[in-house]
Amino acid sequence: MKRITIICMAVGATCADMFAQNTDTDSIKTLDLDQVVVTATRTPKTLKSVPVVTRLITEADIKKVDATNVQDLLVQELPGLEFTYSMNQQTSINLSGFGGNSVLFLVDGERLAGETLDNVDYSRLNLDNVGRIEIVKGAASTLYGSNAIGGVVNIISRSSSEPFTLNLNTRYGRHNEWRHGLNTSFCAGKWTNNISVQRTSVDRIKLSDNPESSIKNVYSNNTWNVKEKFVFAPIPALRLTGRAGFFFRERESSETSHDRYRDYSAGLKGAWNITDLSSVELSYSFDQYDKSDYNTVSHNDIRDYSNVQNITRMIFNQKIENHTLTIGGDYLRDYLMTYQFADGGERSQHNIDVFGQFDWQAAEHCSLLTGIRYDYFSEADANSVTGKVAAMYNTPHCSLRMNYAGGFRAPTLKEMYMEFDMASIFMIYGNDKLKPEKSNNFSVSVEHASNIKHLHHNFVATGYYNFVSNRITTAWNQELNGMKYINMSAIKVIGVDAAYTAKTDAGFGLKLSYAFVHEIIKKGEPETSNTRPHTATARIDYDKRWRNYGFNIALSGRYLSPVDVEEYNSTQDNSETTRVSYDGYSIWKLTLTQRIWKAISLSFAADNIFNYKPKVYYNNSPSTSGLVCQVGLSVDVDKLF
Amino acid sequence: MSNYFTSIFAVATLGIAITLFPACDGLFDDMYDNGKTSDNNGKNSSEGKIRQFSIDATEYTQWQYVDLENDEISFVTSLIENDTTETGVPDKWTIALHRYDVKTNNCTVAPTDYQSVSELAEAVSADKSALEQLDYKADIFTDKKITIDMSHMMEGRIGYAKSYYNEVISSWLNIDMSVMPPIYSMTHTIFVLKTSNGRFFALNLVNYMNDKSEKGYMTVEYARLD
Repeated sequence: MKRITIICMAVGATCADMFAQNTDTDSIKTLDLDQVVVTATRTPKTLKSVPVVTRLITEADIKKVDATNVQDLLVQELPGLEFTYSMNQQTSINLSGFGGNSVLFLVDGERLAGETLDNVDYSRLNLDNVGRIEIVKGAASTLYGSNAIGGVVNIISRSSSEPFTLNLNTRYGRHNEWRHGLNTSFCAGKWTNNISVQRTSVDRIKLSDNPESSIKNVYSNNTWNVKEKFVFAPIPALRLTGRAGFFFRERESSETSHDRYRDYSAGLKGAWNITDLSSVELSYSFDQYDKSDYNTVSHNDIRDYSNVQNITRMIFNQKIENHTLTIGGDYLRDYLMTYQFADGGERSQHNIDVFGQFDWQAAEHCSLLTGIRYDYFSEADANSVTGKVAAMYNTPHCSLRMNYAGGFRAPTLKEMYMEFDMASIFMIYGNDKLKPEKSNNFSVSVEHASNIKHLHHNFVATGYYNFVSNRITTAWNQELNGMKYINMSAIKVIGVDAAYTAKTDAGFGLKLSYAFVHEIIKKGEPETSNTRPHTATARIDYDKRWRNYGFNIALSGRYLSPVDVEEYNSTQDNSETTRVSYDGYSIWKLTLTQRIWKAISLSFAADNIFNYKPKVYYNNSPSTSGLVCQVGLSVDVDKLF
Repeated sequence: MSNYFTSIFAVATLGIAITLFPACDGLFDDMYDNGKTSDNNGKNSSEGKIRQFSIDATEYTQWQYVDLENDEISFVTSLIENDTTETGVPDKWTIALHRYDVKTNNCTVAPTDYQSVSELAEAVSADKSALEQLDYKADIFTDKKITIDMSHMMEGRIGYAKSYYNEVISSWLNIDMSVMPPIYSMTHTIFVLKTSNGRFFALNLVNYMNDKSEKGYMTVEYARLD
C-alpha cells in the first residue's frame, strides 16, 4: 500500500507541476468543485475530493438547457451519449458502448422498474424539482449491484428550506408542444413537503416522406408526472422521508391503438445519525411500471406488462478518524408479467446482497477507496462478487485518480423466460442457463483546476478500458428456428473523455467536452459495434444581473461523428456483413432566459438553429424536423409579494 | 432517549414490512379492462337492418368463409395446404377473410363516399338506382398477396398462396410495411358488394383487433340494401 501511495504522490506531483503555472493558491471557486456529491461512494463528498470521477449537472445547468426530461438534458451535456430509436420508436441509449441495460438510472438512489427493449422509460425522468444529476461512468456494481456496468446516472431531487414556495411554469413550442409545471413546498417546524406536477404534450411530428427512412413520423405523446415528498425530522439526528409518485404517458402509435405507460412509486426512508461518527439508513422502495394498449374502437385499456420492484435497504456508516466505513445490504423482489411470456404469464425472483466499502484517507493528499459486494439472484441461481479500488492523489489544483471497478448484470426474468412470437416471423426464446454479464473497468484520470485572476477553469481527462464478458444478447438458434438469448464472447471498450470548463467573474462561461470510444468485438458475434467514435458537446454562455433584471444567454451544441457499421446480411447467419455508413451531425441550441424582478423568468429557445435535417431518418438519426422555437414563462408566486 | 429512537425505528420498520407484502405483485389491477380473445369469435349481432360479425382471421393458413345471404350467418374455416391448395371450402359463401385480405364468391365490390352503413342504407332506400352507378371491381388472381408463411421473411422470402382476392374491399385496412412494426390504419370506407345473383350488401370494417388489441380479429358491419 505504501508503494501505491508513493506512486500516486509522484505522478500527482508531476501533474501538479505541469499545471501549476500562472495559478494562485486561492480555493477554486465557482466551478462547482465544492459541491457535495454522493453517487460514487454513497457518502457525501465534495466533487474535488471524490476518488471516482463524477460528472455533475447542477440545477443552474438544467435551467440553461431548458430541458424537459433527462434525455433532452443529457444529449446537451454529456458526450459519448446517444439516444436512438429501436423498433416501434422505443428509445434506446448508448453510453460509450453500453446499452440501456448496462447503464443504471437512479432517482434519489433508487432504481427504476420497467423496461422496453432494455431501456427504462426516460420520459419518466422529468426535470421538475431536480436539484442535480450525478453521472459516474464505468462500473459501479459494488455499490449499486446489477446493471451498473457502463455507468450510473443518479437524479437527485431538490429540497427547499423556505417556509413556502410556489412555482408555476409553462412552455410552448413548434408541433404544438406544451409543458406545464407546478412546484410547491411547505416547511413548518419539523415538516417539509414538496409537490411537483408536470404535464407535457406534443403532436405527431412529420419527419420524412423518403421511402428509405426508418422513421417517417414521430408519434404524438402526452405525459403526466406527479411527485410528492415529505420530510419529518422529529429530532435533529433523525430524518424520515416519505415519497409517492405517479406517471402516465400515452402515445398515439396508430389510429386504433394507443400505447399507455403508467408508473406508481412510493418509498419510506429513515436516516439516523446515531452519533457524530456513525449513522444508519433504512429504506423501503416500491416501483410498479405498467404498459397497456388502449383500443380506440372498443375503448378497452388492456394491460399486457407489469414490472413490480420492492426493495428494502440498510446502510451503516462509521467514521474512524478521517476514514469512513460503509456497510449495507439490499433485498429486492422483482415481479414481471408480460405479453412476451408464454400465455402472458408471470415470474418473480429475489435478489439479496451485502456490500462493504472503506474510504481511507491514507495521507493528507492521498485517499484510497476499496469495496466489495456479494449478490445472489434466486431464479438465475447466480452469485456474483464484485470489487473496486480507487486511489486519488490531490493537491489544491490537481488531482490524479486511478480506479478499478467491477460490474455485473444478472440475467433478467425476460431474458430467462421469454417465449415471444415476433409477428409470426420468428420466435424469441429466453434461456434460464444464462450467466451474469461481468465487466472489469480500469480508468486513470487527471484533473486540474485553477484561478487566473478573474478566470476560473477546470480540466479533466479520463482514459478507460473495459473488459466485458458474457454480455447477454440474442442470436439465431438453428434447432429452435428462432432467436434465443445467449452469452456472447468477451468484448473490450476503450475510450477517452475530456472536459474543460471556464468561468469568469464577469459572467462568461464555457464548457467543452469530448469523448472517444472504440469497441473491440470479435467477428461473427451476434452484435457488431455501432457506437459513434467521436462525440462532443459545447456550451458558451453569458450571465448578467442587475437589481430587477438579469439575463442568461447560452449557445449549446453537440456533435456526433459519422459511424460505419458492419450489419449482418441475415439474422440467421453471422458470416457475411455489409458496411453501412451513417452520417454525423451537429445540432445547436440558443437559449435566452430573462429574469424580471425576482419572481418572473421569461425564456426563448431556438433548438436546431442551423435547421439540420437528415436526408434519411435512420433509427440513429436525430428525430428533428428542423428549427424548433420555444417560449416559456416561469413565475415564483411566493416571491411576487 | 435511546428508547425514543428505538420506538421510532420500530414503527418505521413495521410500516415498511406492512407496506411491502400487499404490493409484491403490483397494485391497481381494477384500473384495466379484461379483454377476451375468443369469446366473440364467429359471433354476430344485429341492430335493425345493420348486422355485425366478428371472426378470428389470425391464422395465415386459413380462410374464414362467411355466407351473408342467409338470415342466419354461417362461418366455415378452410385450410391452406403446403402446396397452397385449399381443403374445406363450403358450397355456399359470399365473402372469405384471410387475415386482412378478402375474396368474394363471384361478386363485385365498389367503394362509396358514405360515412356509415346506415347513411348508405338510407340513401339507397330513397334512390336505389345510385347502386348501379358505382364502379364495381371483380376479384383478381394473385400469387403475391395471400401470405401463408412469414417464417423466412428475414431472409427475404415470404410464402404466398395462389388465390383470387378482391383488391377493392381489401383496401379497408392500410398497412404501412415500410417501418417496423408496420402501422395499421383503417380507411373507414363503406363498400357495396354486389353478389352474382344481383343482391347488394353494404360492408364496413369496424375493427381489426379483438378486445385485447390482438390483430387479425375482424369485426365487420353489414346490411342488405335491397
